[in-house]
Amino acid sequence: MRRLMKREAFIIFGLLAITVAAFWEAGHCGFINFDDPGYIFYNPHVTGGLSAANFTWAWKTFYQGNYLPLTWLSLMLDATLFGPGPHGFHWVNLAFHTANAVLVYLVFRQATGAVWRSALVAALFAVHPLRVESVVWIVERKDVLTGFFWLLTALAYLRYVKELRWRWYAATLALFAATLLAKQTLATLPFMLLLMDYWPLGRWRKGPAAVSLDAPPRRSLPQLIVEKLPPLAMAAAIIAVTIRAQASTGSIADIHAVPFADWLANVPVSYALRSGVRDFLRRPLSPEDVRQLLGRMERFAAHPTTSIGKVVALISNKGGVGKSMLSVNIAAELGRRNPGQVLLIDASLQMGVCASMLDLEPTTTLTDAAHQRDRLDQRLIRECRSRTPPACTCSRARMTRWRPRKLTTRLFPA
Amino acid sequence: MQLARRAYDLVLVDTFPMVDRVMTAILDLTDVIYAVTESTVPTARSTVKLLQLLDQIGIPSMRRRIILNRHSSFAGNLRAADVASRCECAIDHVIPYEKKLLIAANLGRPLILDAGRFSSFGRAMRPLIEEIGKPRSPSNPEMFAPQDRRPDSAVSRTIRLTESVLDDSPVAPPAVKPPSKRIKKA
Repeated sequence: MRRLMKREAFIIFGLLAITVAAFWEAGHCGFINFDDPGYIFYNPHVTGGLSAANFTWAWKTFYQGNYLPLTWLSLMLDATLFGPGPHGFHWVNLAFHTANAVLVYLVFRQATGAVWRSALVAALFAVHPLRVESVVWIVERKDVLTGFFWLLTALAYLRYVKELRWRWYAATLALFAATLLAKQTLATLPFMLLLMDYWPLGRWRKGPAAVSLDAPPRRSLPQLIVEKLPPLAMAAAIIAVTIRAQASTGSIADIHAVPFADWLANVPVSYALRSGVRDFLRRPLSPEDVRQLLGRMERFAAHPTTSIGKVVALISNKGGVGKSMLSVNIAAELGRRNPGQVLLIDASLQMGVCASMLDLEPTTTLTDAAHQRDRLDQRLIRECRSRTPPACTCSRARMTRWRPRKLTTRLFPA
Repeated sequence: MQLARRAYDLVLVDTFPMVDRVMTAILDLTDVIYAVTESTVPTARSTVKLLQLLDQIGIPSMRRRIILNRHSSFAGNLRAADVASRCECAIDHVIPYEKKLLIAANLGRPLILDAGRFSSFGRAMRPLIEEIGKPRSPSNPEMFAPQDRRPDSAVSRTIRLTESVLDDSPVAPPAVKPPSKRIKKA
């Protein structure tokens, strides 16, 4: 028994070690330009961390055409614990992938009874190049998270098959619900469970015998299918929600929107893509991708790059002479006259006060921009800034009376 | 900074009072530098040193302006002419002290947005704001008049985009007109 425990510990620690060693560099990477901006660092709900309002938002939103409440909550928790920088997200992605590698081993070992073969499968899963996208790309938190719950679902199901107790069936359903709320790709899980019933569990009466030593009681196919009806109903419900979420961003086109001749014309293009042309594309472009690219081009066109702006600096030899006060007033007035054309940079790296003078709470700072210097472009600069509130740029209401209540709120925020 | 100036018509930098690598890089890219001083002897004396330092690091005087901030006229305080004399240069703008500035800072709303026609602060700030808001060079007269921007064809936009990517040459020094109201040094 002790020897078996030692072997288990050796395999699990081995899996942990090779996974962490293979993906160690990921923890030091930054954000990338694809989806990370929209999902993470320009999403105030994620960077704002876990709060009651953001919690509600996560359960209600179809943001970016997806319904991913558990993924949002997980990202918010990371932002709360480690801040809005990229490293916390990366390390948590790696932690989930490491846990997944161990879970793969446990699922295969329990299902087949084979120890070293299961360990080999888990090791291949841990360091397989196909996993890189899911682990290193922060947005793919949904992938590692749903995988985590999916493997836990499989473990709970194996336990249910072994003990045939309803509490393990309930646990299977609960974990499957979590899987679907992290990402909807694994709605196919009921079919996977049916396949597991066929092999390696050997539950189908007419199928092969169980691979594992402790064989479960055999059932007829209708019995096995009835057993899968509740998870199938859950999958159907989440598919309906997903279609609604995708439709909310215009990602699902009406079948009559494109003439039949165009569908036919698209056939050779699809073949071309499948026969190697897609090497030039990351993947077949989705309407959402095209929309984002066009939006970006439109924004560039609205601000032609040849118009070189004027740079003005306010300097002094000592602090406390009112530089920030002047900067804020000049920027506010010129910003009011030319909306969206004035950028105020508070280069006081030690302790800037411009944001406070404008009643702003910036979510990104110069340090964040410096971290992203390799991919800094005009769009990123525009999205890094804190917009002045409408009261500053539009309203011209006169400040005629003292407002001690607002002052107290600013000095001692609730 | 170069990217920022391509994205915005005006980039205003509020610096930290320390000359380091960051500050030097900012000053190199800046079209106009406004040195802010006060009407107290220690600040005026330190401004002299700052201007000397700017001379030593090669910032030409034509790119510099002096702002006398939070100025009050009362017995015992320095006059603008006194500060100009000590600095051995003209004071370009005198911004008066106003109690409402403190209230504005506390409320997080710039006073200029609420400064009326008769506000001394508003009156003093307007020439400064007009000066800063002027286009950077005559070659780009459309700046700060986006509503007047002529419609642009896709071809010309593409050509200009390509040129801007290929063109990495440094930006020519600005042609800033001298301010209209300069207080002569005593």
